[in-house]
Amino acid sequence: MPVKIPPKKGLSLGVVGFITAFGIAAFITEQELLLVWIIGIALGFVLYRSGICFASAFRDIFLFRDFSMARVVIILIAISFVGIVIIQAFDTSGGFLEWVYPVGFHTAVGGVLFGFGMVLAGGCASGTLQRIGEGFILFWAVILGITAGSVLGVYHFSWWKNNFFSIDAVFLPDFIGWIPSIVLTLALLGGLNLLAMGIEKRNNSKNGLTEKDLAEKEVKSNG
Amino acid sequence: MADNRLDMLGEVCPVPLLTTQKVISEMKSGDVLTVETDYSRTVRNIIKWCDDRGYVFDVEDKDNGVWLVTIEKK
Repeated sequence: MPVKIPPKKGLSLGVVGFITAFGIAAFITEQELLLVWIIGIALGFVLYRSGICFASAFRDIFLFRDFSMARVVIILIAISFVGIVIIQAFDTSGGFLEWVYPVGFHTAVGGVLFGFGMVLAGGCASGTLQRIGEGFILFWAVILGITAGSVLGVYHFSWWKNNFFSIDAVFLPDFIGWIPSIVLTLALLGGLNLLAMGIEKRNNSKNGLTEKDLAEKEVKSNG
Repeated sequence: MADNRLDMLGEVCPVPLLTTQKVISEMKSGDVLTVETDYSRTVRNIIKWCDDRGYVFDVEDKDNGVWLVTIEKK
């Protein structure tokens, strides 16, 4: 039986007031910040409504043999990739290139550290912010951990740079051109998505579900 | 028929779903389990898992941000 729970109106108004005040303050300080403020609100809304979770995407593949969030992340990367290509292709000041670092041993170490932290804490950076917004006090502790870890990472960065950066950063379009790079990346992401879909289908047929059941499930979960 | 309750308040992914799976695997067919959680993703995780197995489930709002998920083992 559904129970009607009165929403906390005062709290909601307080949060909206705080965000608005923050926007006005940002606009007064620097007009460009208003754009960042709008993008921030939009991103927060999309994160909250979609429930995108990088931790779940990587963890559930192994833990529950569930590829649904992994596929969401693949699609998310494909869409952001197109956006980033547009920015990179038209930005004369170099775009994202200054944040591209060479691949190496340090990448694997960073991946393992971040992966363990993410799965143990129950959320990556975006997921943690999203959960704080949803009201989980616990994730304030996680964001403290993320901040401390990031500060340590920045502090220690030059050590890794001096010891492990042996090759130059690879910017694919410089080697094979823009169009082949775009096609290659999208083909790779599409291939991964197809692979995930294939494994999902095989798992479902193990559970005795037919194509028709799956179609019905799809309709139900969307409706 | 037995009624089981699982208190998962304060637990985050993947603990609630793993515990639910463990408890359900020890239940008999027709037994009912009620999971109490304050984690929105847990609700989604559990009902997807139930859906994949054809278990009947029901979600009830207990309080602001607290849900009761009732699952019947098939």
